[in-house]
Amino acid sequence: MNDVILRELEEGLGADNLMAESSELSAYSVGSVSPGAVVFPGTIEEVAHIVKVAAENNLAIVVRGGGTKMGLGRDPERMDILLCTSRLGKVTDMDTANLTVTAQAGMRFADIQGALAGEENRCYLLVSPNGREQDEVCFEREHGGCFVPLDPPFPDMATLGGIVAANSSGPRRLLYGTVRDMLLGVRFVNAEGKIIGVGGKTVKNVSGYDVSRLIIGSMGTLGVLCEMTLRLLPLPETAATTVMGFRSLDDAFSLVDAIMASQLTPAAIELFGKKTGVRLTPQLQEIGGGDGCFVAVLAEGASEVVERIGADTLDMGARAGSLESVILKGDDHLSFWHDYYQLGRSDHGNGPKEIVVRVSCPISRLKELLGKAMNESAALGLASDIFAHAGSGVGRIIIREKEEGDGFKERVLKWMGRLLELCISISGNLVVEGAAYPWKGELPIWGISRPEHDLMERIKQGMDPAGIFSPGRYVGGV
Amino acid sequence: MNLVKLRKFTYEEVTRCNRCGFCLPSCPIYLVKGIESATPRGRNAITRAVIEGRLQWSGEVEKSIFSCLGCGACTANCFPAIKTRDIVFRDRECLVSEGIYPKIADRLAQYILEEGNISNENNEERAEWQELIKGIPEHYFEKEKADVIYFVGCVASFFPLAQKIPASMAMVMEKAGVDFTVLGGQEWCCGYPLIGAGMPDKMDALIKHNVEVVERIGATKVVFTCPSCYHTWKHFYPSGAEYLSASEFLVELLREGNLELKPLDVKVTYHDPCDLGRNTGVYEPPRKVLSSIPGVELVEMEKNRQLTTCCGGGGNLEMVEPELSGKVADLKIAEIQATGADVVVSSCQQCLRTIAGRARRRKIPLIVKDITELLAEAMV
Amino acid sequence: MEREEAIRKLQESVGEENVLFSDVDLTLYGYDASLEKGRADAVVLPGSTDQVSLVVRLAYQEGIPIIARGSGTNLSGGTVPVRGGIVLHFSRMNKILEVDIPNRTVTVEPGVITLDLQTMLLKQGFLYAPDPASQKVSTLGGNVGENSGGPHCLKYGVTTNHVLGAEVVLYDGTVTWIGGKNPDNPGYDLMGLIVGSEGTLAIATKIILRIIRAPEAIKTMLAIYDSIEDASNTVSAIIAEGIVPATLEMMDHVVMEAVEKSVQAGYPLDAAAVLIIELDGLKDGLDRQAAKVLEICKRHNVREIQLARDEAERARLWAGRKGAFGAVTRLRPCYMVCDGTVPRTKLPEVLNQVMEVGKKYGLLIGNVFHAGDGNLHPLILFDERDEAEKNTAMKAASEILKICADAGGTISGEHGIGIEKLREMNFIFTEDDLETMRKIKRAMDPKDVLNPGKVIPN
Repeated sequence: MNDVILRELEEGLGADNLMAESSELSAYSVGSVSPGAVVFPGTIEEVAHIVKVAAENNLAIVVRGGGTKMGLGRDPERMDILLCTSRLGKVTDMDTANLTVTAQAGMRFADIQGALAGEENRCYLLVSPNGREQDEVCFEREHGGCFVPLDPPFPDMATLGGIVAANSSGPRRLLYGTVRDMLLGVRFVNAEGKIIGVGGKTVKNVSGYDVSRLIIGSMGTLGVLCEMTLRLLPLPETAATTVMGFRSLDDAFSLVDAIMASQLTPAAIELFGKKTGVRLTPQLQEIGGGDGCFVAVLAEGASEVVERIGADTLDMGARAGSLESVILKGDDHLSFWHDYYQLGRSDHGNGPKEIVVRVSCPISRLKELLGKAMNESAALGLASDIFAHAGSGVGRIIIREKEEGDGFKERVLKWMGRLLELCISISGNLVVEGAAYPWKGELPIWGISRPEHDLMERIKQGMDPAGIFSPGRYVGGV
Repeated sequence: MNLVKLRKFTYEEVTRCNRCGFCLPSCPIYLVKGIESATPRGRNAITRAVIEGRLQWSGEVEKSIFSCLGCGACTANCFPAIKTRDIVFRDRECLVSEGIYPKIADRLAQYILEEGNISNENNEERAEWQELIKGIPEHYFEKEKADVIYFVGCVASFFPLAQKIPASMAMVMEKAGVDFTVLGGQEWCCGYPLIGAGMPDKMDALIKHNVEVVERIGATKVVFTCPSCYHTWKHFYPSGAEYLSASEFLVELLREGNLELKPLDVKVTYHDPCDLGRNTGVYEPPRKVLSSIPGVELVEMEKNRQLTTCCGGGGNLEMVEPELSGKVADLKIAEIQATGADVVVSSCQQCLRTIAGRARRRKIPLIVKDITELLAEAMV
Repeated sequence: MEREEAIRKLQESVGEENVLFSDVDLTLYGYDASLEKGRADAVVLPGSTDQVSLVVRLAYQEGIPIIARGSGTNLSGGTVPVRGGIVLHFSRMNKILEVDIPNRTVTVEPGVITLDLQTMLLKQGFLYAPDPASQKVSTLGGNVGENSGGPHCLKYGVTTNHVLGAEVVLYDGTVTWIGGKNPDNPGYDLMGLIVGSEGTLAIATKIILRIIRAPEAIKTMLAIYDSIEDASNTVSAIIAEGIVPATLEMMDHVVMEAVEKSVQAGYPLDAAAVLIIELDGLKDGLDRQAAKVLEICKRHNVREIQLARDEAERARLWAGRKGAFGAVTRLRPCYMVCDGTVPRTKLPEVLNQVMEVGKKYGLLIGNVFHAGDGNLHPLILFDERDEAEKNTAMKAASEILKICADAGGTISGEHGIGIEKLREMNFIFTEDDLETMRKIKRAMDPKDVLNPGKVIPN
């Protein structure tokens, strides 16, 4: 990057917050692309300055938060500037009485949840055991406290900005919904380097276009998301998780169907493979053998409600043929979920490489999708595992490379082709969330092209005509 | 009626319409036609626009204003309770004085004024229904003096399908030992069709005649099986004798224990005629009559009483736009079928004709009975 | 193209009987439930997506404005044809196309009446949650266009939270699907953008909605207060205690008086305010929650609490609330409703300021609103035939919206901007913010044919 531009950037940021030495830059590569410079703005105005400089010089900007989603998407066509939000970590307005919080993009999710819960209730959170003292009494909640009703993966690393930009969601979307149900307003910097504010602090707001929702899941292609206001809920009185082992996917789904048909209001119904299950619930290790899978049903709310959901789930599970079951409470419950939120992490350096594919489909087709995907992978000799938001029609399939794997790439491509066809046949879709291979580009990273893609391009063209935000990284190149 | 008078009677009322639209789903005409000029809100707006000089009386206005059933469902669903029915009837008067109205109304008025009935029949034929009753001499029910007058009405007198109503009513009263008479050729149309036609000023002679007859006979009560006659007498005739709908009168007879009833094993639903229920406030007496018959199970339609859907036979619509009237009847028939009842009971010859007639044309197996008919069946 | 020629083309597209252009029709399609008036050039009653597409294509080619509407219950002038053009009335496209219980969706045409869908679903134990007060007449297409709210949105979210996808007709007549039953497609959330865009970005011709299981138990209470402040404080306190009821509705004495004249809902006429509080969910624990609510109400000087004993009583309590807007014209002929929304804790302060505005201008103001989510609806009562009073009312309305904006709120919670609140958009948006919206509008409707002159000030 030329010195004039670097100087311009430095003027707005200070030398400490600009990195341009090529030796340092490689650590910030996205796929095979290294940035020309890495910037660490500390205010929204600084972000605006960076974008202005970029716009004037037609430089491409990619944004990075906690880094948990850098494996998502294609390699950017250009990445002159990597903008890190790590210094944008402030809570600007915590209004628990109104159940809203406004915070900057670089705030880590676990931190905001911790701050909202308050010291007394930190132990309740499903995010990280770090905030918890040993032997602390947890489930006798006497105090208030709120939470952002989202539960994206990797909460200890993921930032608010990244969660919104990638439209991350987790198991509890079943009860609470996704980012689009929580986001009330955003401030972002547009392609001209102007600060744009839309939405606000109220749950109801129909003043003008719902630009906030457009920003959700836009992967940094429409602007640099700097600050957002999210809706909160009071922390539930208590919570518990019922985990059950089943001998087959069919049996497991018959429990899922029974719960869905009932009036129960679980926060999450998760279905996962046996290997994962045994790892997460040592209490159930007895089950061994077979091709079984597990279902975890999370209940949150008033103690009577949690009790009832637990009891009914056990009954339904027994009718569905559960082999064994356990109700996790307190620390067991917390550590189960803590581990669960680390599943599918694709960026870890050691251990075997993984390909993580998020699949989604109409709720009733998930069983078919997961079952066939697993069968196909087995037929191709690929080791796979699954975990899924079974009541929401979303799942993840993880392919692991075996040591002896020969022709791995070809088999993966073949499998992926079949998966894609399967998705098309059931109105589903897929996203490759992680695949740290040089041939990643040959995979259908963003799944099936959507009929509304033309419109997306029109919007992109309208909001970022020069294409300076994350060029080429997102779906269909928008 | 002219614009000055219309403004005086209607303007304040019509400006209270805030176009909230709550009347729309209650208006059968809108449900069938799906256009704004078929809504009560639209009719209010037309009236207001004419008063404010933004619209002229025209054929288009006529189409909207004469397609109203006068059923009053809009008012029942209107929070400021705007009486669109009254507004529409006044508009019709204006349209008539402008010469913009369905010309069939002229013929109707001519029949009524010349013959005393709506059907251009010899008015002496009014007693024809008595032939349905076996073994009674001609003019059996016509007396010089009586305590009760049964006012049969034009439709039940002249339309074969409806003649079973007066036959049933007369038999029930006879068995109960009521001192009653019918008026035969001396019964003139009550004038209701003229109100609906926008010609209420032509009613005067009819009212005068009918009232004189009642006085001459010295009756203390006049009983009606026709809700529209009843409504008209109640609202437009001078007070004198007591005016009662058939079911109110039958409830009296039942209370006095003058009727002996045998069980009928039947599931019925009851259709509230607009002019009896919503427009005159008689909801419970017919239900009491039904519940007094042993074995009769009453299931209500989803919309009943104040919220009932018109059968399609109201407001002269059947005469002006028969197909539209029939489509409204389809809505009603669907509601009836949804109850799963064996029989739909009404207490109006027009409802009976409209519903039964439409069902027959559409080949829908539906048993429609008047409440007097059902009661007569249950008589021992 | 001459008008006659255009009408002939429309007739060819949708059938003669489905094109209206008489003086009466054009006048009647010039209003909605707001005070705004316009005049259409033609009205079309489409019967299919293809017909909508043909009409829109014609409008695009000829540069004719096109305004889609359902029952015309809009409260901000959003469906008023201010620049003439073709009004598309969706009354014929009113079919529920599919109820897909396993996937928790229904697919409807835009002309389906909201309550008709809800009644049908409830019989099967399911719920389409958004319940705008006008649900009895409003259409789902209109709800999507306005992102309608309603009492139960406190717990269940507004319309946009329940729209999964739609078949839409774009500015040039192109038909495309957006979103669908698949919960997680990558790409921009165009559905989220279109919901609430008041027909200015696209016209929905089929809509996929999310449905949920109806709650196992419901408890509805009427809490009666002698002071509006106590009532507002109760609202905040309930939420602060960690309870999110299904609804938290407030009505003041002005509105109660009008409502009682219309339906005998049993509201006390000597009280300052009432709250309708509804709790729902699993039956377990609901009693304890209700007891907690009761205790909170008592702490805030509630005079009396009535609990609906059965569905009929519940319906009676709600009947009054749902018809409140209509009922106030029993007091004065017209009302203007300000749909400003504020953070809940600001309610007592903002309500006071609203009443001050009323006093200052000598206007009667009634309040009936979604207290739980801070969505005010001050109803300014007046007579629009009195030009001076009308202007005063409009001035007062604008001031009230400013108060809401200054309290950290917004100028419309659920009724939309339409044309009525265009002037107030700068209370909450900078020129750059508005320019962002204009960019979106230009991207999706380059010739400005879809409901022009609405939502974004020029």
